[in-house]
Amino acid sequence: MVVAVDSVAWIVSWFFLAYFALVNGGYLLIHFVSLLSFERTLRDWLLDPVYHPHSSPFLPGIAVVVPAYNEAVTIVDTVQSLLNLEYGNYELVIVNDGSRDDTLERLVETFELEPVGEPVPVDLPCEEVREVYQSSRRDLVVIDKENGGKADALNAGVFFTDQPLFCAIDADSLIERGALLEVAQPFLRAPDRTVATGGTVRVANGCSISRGVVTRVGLSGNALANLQTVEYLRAFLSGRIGLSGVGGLLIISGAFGLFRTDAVREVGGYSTSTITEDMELIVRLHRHFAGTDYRVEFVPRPVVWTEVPESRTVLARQRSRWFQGMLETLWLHRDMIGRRRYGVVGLFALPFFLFVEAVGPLVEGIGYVLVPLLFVLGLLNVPFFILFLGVAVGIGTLLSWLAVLNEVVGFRRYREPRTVAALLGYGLLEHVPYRQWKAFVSWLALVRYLRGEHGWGEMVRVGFDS
Amino acid sequence: MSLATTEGTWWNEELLVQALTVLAHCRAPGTETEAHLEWICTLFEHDSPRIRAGALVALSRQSWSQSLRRRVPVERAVADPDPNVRTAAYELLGRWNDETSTRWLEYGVRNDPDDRSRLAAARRLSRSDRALPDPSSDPVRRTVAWVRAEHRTPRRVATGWS
Repeated sequence: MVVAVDSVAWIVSWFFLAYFALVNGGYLLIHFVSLLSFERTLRDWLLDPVYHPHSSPFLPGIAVVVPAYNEAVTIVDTVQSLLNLEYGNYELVIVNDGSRDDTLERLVETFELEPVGEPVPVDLPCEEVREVYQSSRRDLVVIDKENGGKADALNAGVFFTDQPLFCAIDADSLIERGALLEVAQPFLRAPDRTVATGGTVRVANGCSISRGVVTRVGLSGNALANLQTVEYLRAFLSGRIGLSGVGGLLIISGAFGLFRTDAVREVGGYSTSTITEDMELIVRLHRHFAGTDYRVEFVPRPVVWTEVPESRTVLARQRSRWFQGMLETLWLHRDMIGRRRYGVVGLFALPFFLFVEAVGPLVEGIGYVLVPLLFVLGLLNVPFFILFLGVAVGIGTLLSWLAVLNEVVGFRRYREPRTVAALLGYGLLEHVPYRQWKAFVSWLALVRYLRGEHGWGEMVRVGFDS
Repeated sequence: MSLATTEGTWWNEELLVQALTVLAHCRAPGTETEAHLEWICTLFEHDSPRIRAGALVALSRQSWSQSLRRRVPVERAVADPDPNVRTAAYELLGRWNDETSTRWLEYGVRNDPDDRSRLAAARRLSRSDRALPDPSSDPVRRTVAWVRAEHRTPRRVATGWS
C-alpha cells in the first residue's frame, strides 16, 4: 500500500515537473523572442526615428469605433481624447449600446449632436438602431441602438462606416495622440497583407490625466492595480511582442485594435455569442486567411490607457470572463489545434494557449491543494519542493522583470527610479497571494463555463483623474 | 511612372494595387505625363476587381483630362459585377462633375443593387451640389433621405484609401 502511494506521489511529482517545464519553457521562449523582436524594433526605430506620417498622403481612412454601455462617467473624456488624435483621416463612431445611464445625453449635450432623423440606408447586423446623431463640426457620429452587448455594438460601427480600416477602442480607455499613426504603420508597409494590428494596453490607475490626455505616468495607491500594471507589462507588452514575433498573435485587445474593415465584414463581424469577442475574432481571421500571405501584428509603441479594477470582486469577474472566453474560443476552434494548415497558429499559438494559458492555472491550482496534502501525509520531498518553488518564483520574477526591462529600455513611460523599483517589487510580490488567488478564480471560471454561466457583471468605473 | 508605363501591366496584383494607390494621389500636369497613364486604361478589363477599382481611382485625379475621360468605359464600370468597382466608378464620376457624369450617378442611385455603392453614388451627387433623383423604390428612398439628412463633412463622403 505504502509502495502504491509512493508511486502515485512520484508520478504526480513528475507530472508537475514536466508541466512546469512545459509552461515555463513556453513563456521563456516567447519572452526570448520578445527580446529579440523588441531589439530589432528598437533599432529600426532609432535608425529611422523620423517617421513622416504628416507628410504621407497615403493614410488610409480609419473609423474609430467605440462601443459604450453605461459609460457616462468616462465617455466625454474619452471622446475628447479621441477628437485630438494625430491622424489626418479618421472619423469617430460612438455606439451607445442601450445605456441605462445618461451616456447618450452627455454626448449629445457636450458635442452638440443632432439626430439624422432617417434610417441608416445600409444593413447593420445588430440590434435595432434607434437614431444616429451627427455633429456638424466634427467627424463624429453616435449610433444609438438597443442593447445587444459589446460585439453587437462593434458590429453596428463596423458595418456602418465606409472607411477601409476601423479601430476598436473601449469607451473607458484613453488612446495616446500619436497612437493611431503608429498602429497603422503595418497597413502602410503592407496594405494588402495586413489584416489586423494592435497596440499596447497600459494601466491608467495612478496616472495624472488632463482633458483626456495622460500627463504624468505613475503607480496607483492601490496594490491590486499595481500588480495588474506589472501583469499588463508582462502579458500585454512582452508576451504579445513575442507571440507577434513568431507569427502567432491570438489576441488583439478589444481596448485597442486596428482592422481591415472588409476582412472583418468578410468573416461576419464580431461574434455576438462568444464571451471574449476580441480573441475569437482574431482566431477566426487566422482560420479564414490560413494559407494566404497575411499578417496580424502587434505594435508595441502606441498605447491605450485603461482603468483596471481596484477591488478583488470586480477583478475576479473580469478575469473569470477572460478565462471563460479563452476556454470558449479554444473549444470553438479546437479543430485548428495542432493542424499544420494553420501554420504557427495551429502548431504553436493555439497549443500554447490550451496547455499553458488555459490548463496552466488549473494545474497550478491543483498543486496548491496537493502540496499541503502531501506534506501532511509525509509524502512531500521537502528539499525538492523548496528547490522547485525557488525555481518557479525565480522564473516568474525573471519574466516580470524582463517585461519591466523592456519597458525601461524601450518605452520609458515610467521615468522615476522609485516607480521602476516599485514595479520590480510588485513583480516579486505577485507570487503570494495574487497567483494563488488567480488560480482559484480560474477554477471558478471553469466551473461557471461548464455550467453555462456567462454573465458579464458590472464594471464599476471611477472615472479618470482631472 | 516610366517604369509603370513599360512594366505596369506585368506587375503582380499586390504591386499593381500599390502603384495605382500612389497614382491616385499624383496629379499629372501635362500631356506628356498623360501619355504615361494610358497603360492604366488597359486595366479596366483586368480579372481582379481590386485592379479594376484601383484603375478607376487612379484616374480620378486626372479628371481634368478630357482625352483620359473618353478612355474610361463608364457603362461597363457602373455595371461591373463587383460593388467596389462600381463605388470606385462613382468616385471617379463625382470628380468629373459634368452632365454626363451626373446622369451616370443618377443612374447609379436609382439602379445600383448594392446599398453601399448606391450610397456612394448619392453622396457624390450631393457633394457636387447636384439634385438627388426622385426615389423609385424603398431602398433608393432610404439612401436619398439619408444623404439629404446627413451633414456633408469631408470625411463622411470618403471611401477607400485617401
